[in-house]
Amino acid sequence: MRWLLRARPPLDARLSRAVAATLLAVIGAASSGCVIVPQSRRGALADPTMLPVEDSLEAKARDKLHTTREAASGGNGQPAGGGCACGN
Amino acid sequence: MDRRSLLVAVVAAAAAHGCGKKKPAQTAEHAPVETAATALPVTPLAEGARVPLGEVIKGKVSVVDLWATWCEACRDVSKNAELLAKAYRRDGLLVVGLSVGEERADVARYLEGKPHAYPIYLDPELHVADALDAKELPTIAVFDKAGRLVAKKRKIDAEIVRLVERLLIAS
Amino acid sequence: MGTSLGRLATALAAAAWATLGPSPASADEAAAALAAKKELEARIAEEDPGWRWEALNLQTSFLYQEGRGLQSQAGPIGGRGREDAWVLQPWAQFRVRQNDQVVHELTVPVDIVSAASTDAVDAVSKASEYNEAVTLDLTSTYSPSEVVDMSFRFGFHYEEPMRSFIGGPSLTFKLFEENTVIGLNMIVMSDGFDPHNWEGKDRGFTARTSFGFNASLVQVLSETTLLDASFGTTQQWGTLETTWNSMVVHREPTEEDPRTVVRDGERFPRSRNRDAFFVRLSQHVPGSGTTGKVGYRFYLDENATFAHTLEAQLFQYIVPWLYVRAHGRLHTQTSPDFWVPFIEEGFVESTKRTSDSDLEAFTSREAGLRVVLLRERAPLAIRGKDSFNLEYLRYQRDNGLHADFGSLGYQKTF
Repeated sequence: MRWLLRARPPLDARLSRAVAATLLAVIGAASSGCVIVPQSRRGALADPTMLPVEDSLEAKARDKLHTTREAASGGNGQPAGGGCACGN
Repeated sequence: MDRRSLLVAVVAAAAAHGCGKKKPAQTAEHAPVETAATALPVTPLAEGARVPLGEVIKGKVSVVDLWATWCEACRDVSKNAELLAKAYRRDGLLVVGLSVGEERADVARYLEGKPHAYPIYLDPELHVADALDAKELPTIAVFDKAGRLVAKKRKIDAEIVRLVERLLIAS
Repeated sequence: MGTSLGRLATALAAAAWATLGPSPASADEAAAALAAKKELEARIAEEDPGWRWEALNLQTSFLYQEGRGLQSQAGPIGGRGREDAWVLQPWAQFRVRQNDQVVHELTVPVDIVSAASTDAVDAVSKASEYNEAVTLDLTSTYSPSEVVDMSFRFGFHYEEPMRSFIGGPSLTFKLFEENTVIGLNMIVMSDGFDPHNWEGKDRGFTARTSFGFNASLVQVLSETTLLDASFGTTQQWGTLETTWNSMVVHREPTEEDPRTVVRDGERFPRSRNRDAFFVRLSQHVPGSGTTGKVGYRFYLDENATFAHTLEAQLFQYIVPWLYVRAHGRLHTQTSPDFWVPFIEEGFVESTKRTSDSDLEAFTSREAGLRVVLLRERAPLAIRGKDSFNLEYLRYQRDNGLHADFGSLGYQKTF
């Protein structure tokens, strides 16, 4: 987290700005969702294809495929190998 | 506060303000109230023309079970509605299953092979559900013989059973 | 007082009604009504049925990878060696409800892995050709109200030569009629293991610890649109090198040792901080049975590794009880600032260095297909309370590695 706050080279600064802008866009998009959709109208959202995690075991298996082969995994608060296949 | 922080704060405040809607109060709790819902049409799952809900429940103490095929919590309540229908049918109770927000084919497929002891009607556009302010499923709406809304709850519990018995005695 | 009188009056009226009420049309009908009434009363009185199975999820997947990397010794001296491997993963997940407020989910992943990076021992004896790893991962969730869920996760991982503990709490808030779900979780993981150097020498016990924090948001935007986003940070301390790790060292030949290329161990920093931000939009198209999802992930860490990941998924119902998911993923990452293909002899032992191909700058592409059969919606002849899924995906990196992944899954609700 502290890397977001530290002075960095121009490329890093540009990327940080992109992340901040995306964050703002997310908050903005979320705020537009304040037209509350009652639960009785959320049938489409309850469909298996719309669930944020469609199948937790499949998601874990695919996550493992990536975390053991890509250094740039993790950072999501969950353990990740970052390429080391060590689960941490 | 720099400009970016200010912008985040403004957006967050707007989000919080916009989201802070209060739930509308319950419309009926044992005191009979007139509702526009009974004037709205529902479609029988079996063949037949659209008919106002008021016509379906006319002259009967009625329990309307608002449900949907995707609603897991509805299954338990519908099972109780089924037992309620069987237990009090001979005493004049009418139980109606009102499928909310779904098309006939989906509902018919779901109910295939699941015999039910009460008639099923459709409210695909949620007109009746909205008029009853049924924002969450399942919702149980109890009507007296005059077609007035007497109670609305999320489940069939002892209180609903007692209320139904009282209404049947009074009728 | 008034209430008591009211109850008495109701009871008397009910008794009178039961005695003097309408006579049954038939004895059978009356018996059926009575049975239904008793069953209904029993169901209503049963406040909490207690312990019960809720769901079972089984999956077996198989992965085969072919690749070449500078870390592997199974190749030309000084060049990229084989990193071929296969992984068999039988995984199981059980969800058991203790009562209306408490639910437990146990996940048991088992991995049987062939040596992922061919090491010194494998090169001569295949002693560690297969590696088995098993994890017990339990998450218990307490829901004191419709708005809040509190969870605690505890896990134990066994893998030769490593033991791990994992644990941490999480909080979920379901706000605005569950249109907004905010999740916060913390996790601590500690590994204890015997690191082996590149020649297979055991360097004694060591450890590493990770602390992670994650904040997530799921927001309903419309009746058919969902947005989810998360931000996470992970801090690691300790021995971060992979056991058996090695890299190429170039040297000047001497009379005693004419070799120009030798090997030595990698050296990682003692700590590592990494952050990731993820956002995804999901859209269902009513009437067409189509759902589309697009997600983007941005990653950075303190060793100057940046990554962008774009993932798209398209779901299409073929019939109401069977759908197909096609997905594509594009990932690009830079290498950490201590990645080098080789190192010159004479380096200081503490110099940070790695030539791990997983940490190299690369772009990976992935495409896959998954078919899901929902028996609950199937025609009566094949209907059941379970579902099957079948998946295949191809993963390809532009630094010489590709993998084929296939899985078969089964889910059942009780």
